[in-house]
Amino acid sequence: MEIIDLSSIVSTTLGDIPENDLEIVLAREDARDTWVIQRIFTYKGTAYPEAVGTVVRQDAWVTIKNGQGASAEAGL
Amino acid sequence: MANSAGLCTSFKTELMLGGHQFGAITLISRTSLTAPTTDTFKMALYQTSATISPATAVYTTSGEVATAGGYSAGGATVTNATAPTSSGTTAYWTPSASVSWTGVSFTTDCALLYNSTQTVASFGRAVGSYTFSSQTVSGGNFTLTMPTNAAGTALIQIA
Repeated sequence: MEIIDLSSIVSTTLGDIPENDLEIVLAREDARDTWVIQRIFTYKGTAYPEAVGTVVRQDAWVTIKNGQGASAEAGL
Repeated sequence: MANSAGLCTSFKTELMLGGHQFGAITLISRTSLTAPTTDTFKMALYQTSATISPATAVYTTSGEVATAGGYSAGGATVTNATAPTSSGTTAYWTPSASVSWTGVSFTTDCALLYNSTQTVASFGRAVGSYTFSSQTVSGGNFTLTMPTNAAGTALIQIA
């Protein structure tokens, strides 16, 4: 029986794909009030030749570093 | 010690607790007049073409990312396990957990926090808009992580 490591399977727009068939790129952007991490999966396998080189999944994590304030300072 | 002018910090916190009423407003019942229940707050996501801003008064479906996959119109309820508090002269509040959507595909650059209990013509009263660089998610997950709940960083602050 073949043992499949489910932790290496990624849900994509093509369906569930072995992680080995995907190129994974992380991109981080740091702005004044937020920082963002994007994880981009590009297909590089052989089962779907027409999809090679295409992005099959993108995740994003947006962290709000600073919220919004309503100023109520004295002095007006 | 000399006198000094300024809004009282306790008042700033009590504004977020619904403790003062200077004028008339039509509210959805909070069940009890003396021990009212906490409202429910939600976070909705908007496309880059939308026009959400501090001028937005109520939640709107206009420009909201489409209902599909793991995203439904109206967005997601935020976890509110920590009551508003204060530090120094700043009152503040932050949701107590990240907001996540799984299995979604959209492009967004704005989130609107709104009160889904207190509505105007069935649309929740807006609280705040939060923008970020345009993010595309495709068949994946989108997570909005909340800031540190402290003066200077909290999601809502009255300084």
